[in-house]
Amino acid sequence: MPKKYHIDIKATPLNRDFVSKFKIARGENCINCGKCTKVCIYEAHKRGAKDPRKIDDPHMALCKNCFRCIQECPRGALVKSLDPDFLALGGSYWKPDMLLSIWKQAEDGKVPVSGAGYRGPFTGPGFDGMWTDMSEIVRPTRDGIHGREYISTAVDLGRKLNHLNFADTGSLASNIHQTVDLPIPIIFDIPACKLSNNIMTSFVISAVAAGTFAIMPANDISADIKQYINNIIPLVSPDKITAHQSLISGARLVAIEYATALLNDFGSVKDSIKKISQAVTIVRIPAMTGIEDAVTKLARSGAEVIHIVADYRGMEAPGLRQRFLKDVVRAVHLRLIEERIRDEITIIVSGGIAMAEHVPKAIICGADLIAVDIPLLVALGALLYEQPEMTITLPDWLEKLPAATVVQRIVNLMGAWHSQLLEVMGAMGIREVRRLRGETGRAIFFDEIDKDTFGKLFQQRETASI
Amino acid sequence: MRPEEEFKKIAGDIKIIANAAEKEMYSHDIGDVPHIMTKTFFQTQPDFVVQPQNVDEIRKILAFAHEKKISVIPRGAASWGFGGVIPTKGGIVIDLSPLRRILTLDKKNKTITVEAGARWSDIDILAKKDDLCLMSYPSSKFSTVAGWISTGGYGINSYRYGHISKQIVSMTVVTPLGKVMKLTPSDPDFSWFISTEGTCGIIYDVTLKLRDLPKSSYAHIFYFLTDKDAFYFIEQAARQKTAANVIRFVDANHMRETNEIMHANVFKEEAGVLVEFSNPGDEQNFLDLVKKFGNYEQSPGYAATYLWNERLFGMKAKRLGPTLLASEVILPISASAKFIEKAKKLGSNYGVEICIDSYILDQTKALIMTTFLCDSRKLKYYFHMPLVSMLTQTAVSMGAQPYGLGIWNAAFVNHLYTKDHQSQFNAYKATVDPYGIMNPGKFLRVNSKFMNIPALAFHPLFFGLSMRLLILLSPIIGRIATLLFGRDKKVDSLDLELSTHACAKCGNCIAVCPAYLVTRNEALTAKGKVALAKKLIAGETVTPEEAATAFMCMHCRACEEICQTNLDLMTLWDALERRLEANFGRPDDRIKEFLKTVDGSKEYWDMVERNS
Repeated sequence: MPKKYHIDIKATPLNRDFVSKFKIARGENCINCGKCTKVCIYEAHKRGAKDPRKIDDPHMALCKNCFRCIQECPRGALVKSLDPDFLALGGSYWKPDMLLSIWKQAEDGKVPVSGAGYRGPFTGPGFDGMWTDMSEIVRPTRDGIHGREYISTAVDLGRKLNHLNFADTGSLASNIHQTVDLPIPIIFDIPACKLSNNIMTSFVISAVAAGTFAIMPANDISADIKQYINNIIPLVSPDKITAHQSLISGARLVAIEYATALLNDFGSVKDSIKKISQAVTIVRIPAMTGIEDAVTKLARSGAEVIHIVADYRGMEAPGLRQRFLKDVVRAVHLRLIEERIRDEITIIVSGGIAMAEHVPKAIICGADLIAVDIPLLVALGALLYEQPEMTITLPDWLEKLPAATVVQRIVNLMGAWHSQLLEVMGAMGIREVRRLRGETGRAIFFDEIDKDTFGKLFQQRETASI
Repeated sequence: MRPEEEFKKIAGDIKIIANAAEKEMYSHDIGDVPHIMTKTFFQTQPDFVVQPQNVDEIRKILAFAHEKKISVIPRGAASWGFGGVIPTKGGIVIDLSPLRRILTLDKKNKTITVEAGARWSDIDILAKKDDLCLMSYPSSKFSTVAGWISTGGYGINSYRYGHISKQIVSMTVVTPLGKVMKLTPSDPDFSWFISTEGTCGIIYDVTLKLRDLPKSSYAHIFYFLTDKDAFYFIEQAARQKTAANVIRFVDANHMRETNEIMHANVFKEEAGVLVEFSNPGDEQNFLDLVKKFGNYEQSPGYAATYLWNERLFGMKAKRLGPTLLASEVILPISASAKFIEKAKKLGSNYGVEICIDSYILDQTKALIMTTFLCDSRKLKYYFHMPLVSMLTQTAVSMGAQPYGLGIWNAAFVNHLYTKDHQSQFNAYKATVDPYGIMNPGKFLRVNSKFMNIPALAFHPLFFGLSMRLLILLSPIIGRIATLLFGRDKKVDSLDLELSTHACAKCGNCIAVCPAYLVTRNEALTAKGKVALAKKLIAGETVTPEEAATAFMCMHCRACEEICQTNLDLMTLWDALERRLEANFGRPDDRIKEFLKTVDGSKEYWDMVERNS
């Protein structure tokens, strides 16, 4: 029996205050009676370290929002409110709760539960407008926890044949292309801000631990990172291929930056890589108007893997209209099907992947796998602000973290996302993530169903009133 | 062998306090009496202090004292200023202040049974949860039940419900001969334990009547141009058997001081009469009645409510002092205005401003508290102290009774009890306390050191004569003193040093202090720490033990909230702790141990919940 894919999660709390959704203010009327220290089972309230006669400010990283201290305080001296610092985080896409959730997943690799009942949005913009199939949600009960073990999250990257040709002798005549197998449909993308060599190294080591890859600009790959080349995808521009010869020669995957010239000239670029190594080539192309045409053209000219990159909120580059990632991917996927070449290439998407559920949703829309970027930083305590302009602030203690901690936290995040992917697939009754690709029947798109159900009604009324 | 060592052998679980620093707390009461008058005449330091927790322990202590013929001084919150709890020749102080449990509340019969040291405030809080409340209570609501029964017994609501003895269903007393008696008002022994200042035995528990909790409180203040007008009004109103809970007279000076403390002009600086009712019906009847007397100016409602709510903080004026001296007498209402006039004249001779606060007790009598501000740190204080007795003398010569005797009023005994009554009392006392160990050297007869010669000063004949002489000479002596030492100016803001002097030692803080509840050590209450701060400021030696004790504090602010004189106690504690820490270091282990004890105490958590 082949070895099962497993991500080793391990609690790695930093014991640092990230952000907390709520803050508890201790009023002037606190009598330091110590009731809160007794009733709080999470030890968020403690007597002062300096002067134990006074109660310290609550340690909000430990607070689980159970409200017990608020209820039990004999003086009603504790007041809980949403933390303004928390509310100022993120923006219209990156909700503060998402950041907090990523942080918590990095802490222990478990799936945080928030609120009671259906507190989340039923619908909304972006991925929130997708409802995944839960028809088989009874499976975990029926099959027990073992059901999860039979779910495969493996994908392969590379060119695939449309059909096989056999020689008259019965031997295989077709030339089978080189592919790269991944146990999880997630690779790490270049982080959106400048990082030290240490942190970059830790990123790569965590990619090794999770059995996946990290995309890195070839110029940033230092000598000591190079030893992990087996799990690195060097990103080079088409004209710098020979310059990075030594990198490419050891790599299993190479990413080429998109240039318009590439559309007509992919063959020669591929040839120059082939001279150096057997590496599978990824074309990294920004999401933009006309992306479907570009992808089709690339596929026709022999591209193996295409990586569509949207901005940090999952939006394509401004054009006639600006679509969200899910619509971009659906359009590309559909076009490739129409062209009957979808199965021949691998599509990676990235940008705006912020939650575990975005992985299966992007795959349902037609991606083979996704690349994750910002969440990797958030797992290490980075804060993201969308306004007034997108900024990511790294904590000042980041460099002081031991490398093992950084690695484990990213592994934890991947572990939690992997678990959730298994849950979602289990609920659909799907055992192969490759079978999920483009299975739009496995999801309900709110916009569509809304239009189907009410569109006609309102249309009729409108016409009637005219 | 020293008596405390001998007692320790048989003490069992009884807590004994024998170290000098802690015993010091037990050698004085609320009064600011200079050592020259206490320590020279009397041996005010007790041999040791005990804190019994039940009847058997009280019996054991009394049996020991009886056998050894050692004096026994019962003590509550020590918030009475006539020296009732000051030892006169050492002995054993029985500190009943920690014996403060509320035993049973009988909702049906509206009674509550409490231990001797129970605080009136605690009883009221508990009773209110069952829609009941106290009938009458002392203006020091944080004093003990047995303390008020043993002393004056008149206070708030006395006009409506009478003397405290009328609200007692029964009480358990222990006599020096070891007899435990459950007394009801019909028992002949009963009256010998009322207002006899702990001279016949120890009260262990008391069952009190309660009343239904009124829905609200309706207070009015009527203003009068002169004290005479006010008392004329009171005389008429009191006679009408109105349903007022309280009729209280407050003079113009008191009104002015209240304004000064608030830094606001809320009250008209005229004589005022405060009346309070439990329901709007009674209120209306009274207002209708008043209309028949004439048309009187009233204060705004909020002012009346403020003054009513301030009734429990009578010593707030100490902020302006820092010392407040008081004479309390029970006077016929008809003589009150005249007395006030005389008192003010006497006061002005000594350069002080006399303030009057008076509760009307019934149709004819008023409890009159005459107070004036001075400064115990100044030499002139030695002229001010006799002024208290002169004021009392003035009152008794107009037909007043002293409101209790203790040490400092003992000379006025003949104005309180007839000779006949005194000999009856002595006869009864001989049967329950043959060796005279209960609170000796005061009440009916003062005894002192040096073969009792200084005590002669307190002999009614001599004392009365000398006081009358002093009053007569007051225009001369008083004026000379004022000329020599100047007038005292009122204090506007309190620094830390003044704060320690402004502490009224009223014991309010002791009633609410969680650290005291658990440790039963007065030295760590606000009152104790203020005394320690005073010592530090004066440059006296402080032991490491005393210093460490001051750190046993929960920082709950309860003392600050309840402080009569509104002292800025939290700031004071910070300053005190900083200074002690610099000299002695911080007793971290003791603090931890203390917090553990507090945390494990059921009584502590009960207190926390009760006040929630």
